[in-house]
Amino acid sequence: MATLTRFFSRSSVDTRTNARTLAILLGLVLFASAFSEGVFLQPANLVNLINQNALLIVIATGQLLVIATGGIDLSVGAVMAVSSVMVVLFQDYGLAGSFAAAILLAALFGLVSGALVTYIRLPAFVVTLATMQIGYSVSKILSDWGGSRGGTVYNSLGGAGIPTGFADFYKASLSGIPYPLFICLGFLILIAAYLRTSNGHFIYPVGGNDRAAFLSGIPVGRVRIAVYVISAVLAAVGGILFVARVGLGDPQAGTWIALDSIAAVSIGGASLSGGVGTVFGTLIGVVILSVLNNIMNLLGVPPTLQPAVKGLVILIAVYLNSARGKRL
Amino acid sequence: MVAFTSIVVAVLMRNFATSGAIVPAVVGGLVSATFLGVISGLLVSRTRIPPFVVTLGMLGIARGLALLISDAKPVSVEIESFVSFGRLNVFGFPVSALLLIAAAVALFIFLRHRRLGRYIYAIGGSEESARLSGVDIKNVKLLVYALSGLLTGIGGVIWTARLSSGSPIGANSYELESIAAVIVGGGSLFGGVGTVTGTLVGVVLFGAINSILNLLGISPYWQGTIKGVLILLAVALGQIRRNGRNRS
Repeated sequence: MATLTRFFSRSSVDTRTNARTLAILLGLVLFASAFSEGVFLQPANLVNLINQNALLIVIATGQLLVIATGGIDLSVGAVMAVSSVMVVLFQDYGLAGSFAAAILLAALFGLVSGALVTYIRLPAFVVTLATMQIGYSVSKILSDWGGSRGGTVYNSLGGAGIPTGFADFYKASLSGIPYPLFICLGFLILIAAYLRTSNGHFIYPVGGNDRAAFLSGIPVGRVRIAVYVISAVLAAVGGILFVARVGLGDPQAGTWIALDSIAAVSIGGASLSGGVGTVFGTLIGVVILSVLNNIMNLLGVPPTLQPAVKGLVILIAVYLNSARGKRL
Repeated sequence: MVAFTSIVVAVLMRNFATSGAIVPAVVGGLVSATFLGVISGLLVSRTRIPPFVVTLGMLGIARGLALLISDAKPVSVEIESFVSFGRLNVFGFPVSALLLIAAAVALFIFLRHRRLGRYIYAIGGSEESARLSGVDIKNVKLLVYALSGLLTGIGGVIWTARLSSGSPIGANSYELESIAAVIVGGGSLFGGVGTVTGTLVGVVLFGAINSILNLLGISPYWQGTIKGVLILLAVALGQIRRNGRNRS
């Protein structure tokens, strides 16, 4: 366990933060199990929990990389929407072809955001706000192009539907463990491994003090652009998962995902001013958010009250984690 | 937050369905909006939670409260004098525009010529230097968030009057659009700069782009792309000029 957490985090400070986040999660799970009369811990509910949040885990991991460089990516939801439409529209070229098309377009979005943030030094917030708007607009243009008048897209340009094997992906499981969980874990390990490479490792010094990083010979520009491209590509993976889950491409999908992923990263102990944050913490952050949503549904909290409770829990969780942390 | 105020005002209006109720309802809306601003301000200035997260949490809380109070349904306002106020013209100007001008002038004077207003820029420029120069950082920050709450409340009141109803899910992208307008108007997310006039220019620019796109009959699917590219161009040009100046 110790080696495992060490692989996903970097220092003893990170480990302490992760321990605090885990404690919050544990409290939440205990509360959930006690008050839902055991329903929470039933396999069906847990599978449901994973299936609903697989794409958020993948996207939040990309968000973490951007936030660790001191940036922010508000465009993840829009890129996910574009990708979901692309995947459905390009079914004529096979699954692999449609995935490649979606990921390439997403990478282009990430490249544009990253280049503007890096070379013109625009604030990431504004750049990704604009690319978010462009993304939602492009997704509607694509949907219109596919004959769906800006609405949800069911069929490819050639009129083909989504192959059944793809649509069944979310129903399949390997000895009780749902497939989407493997996808999540795969990407978590991939990103944790990326943070061990020289390019990935430089993310933290770039976020901590980019001037110092530059003077130490770190290729700040390359590191920065890379995180925006990775975040966009992971958002595209989120879009692919979205299509697998709901069986359609939605040009309006994921309006909540940018804020949720930022909340998850913050709950997981990352600092929005950059330089701090671990993959493990982010994973726990997403799980806290999803367990919270799940409990509220199980306990029958009216949907009208749910955003308020969620807001409150985000505040408390980040407060507990920031009490001894780095001042923004 | 706009949605929250608009619901509070509308619900208060409905509950006191006499014309005499306008004043208490409006005051109630403004007070509750300011109250939420004060809570954000307290959290930002007294704890170490980053402002982004505080206001993100408050966004959820305000929207949740609005949904809860209104039972997730729009609340219509049937008080004639309040609704007509939203459409009233004085000397050919809509009342909402006059309110905007009044608020802008008041803020302009406050930010430029009052000591407290200058403190705001000082804190944004360098919090540490401001603190060492004796600025009461915590309370100035509290004030800023309370003011933002109050102004949002005024926005909510105007919005309710114009639509003659309060909507718990309305005003969805205002938080992002207002930030974009400030940046386009020359403000910096790192603090210390930004003017009321610049922000006004930013807002008017946005409004102008919207209405031009509609007048030209551009497909709504394309409008977001064009707007996004224009925003990027506007901020990029400003930034390139600033970069050049810093280098020389």
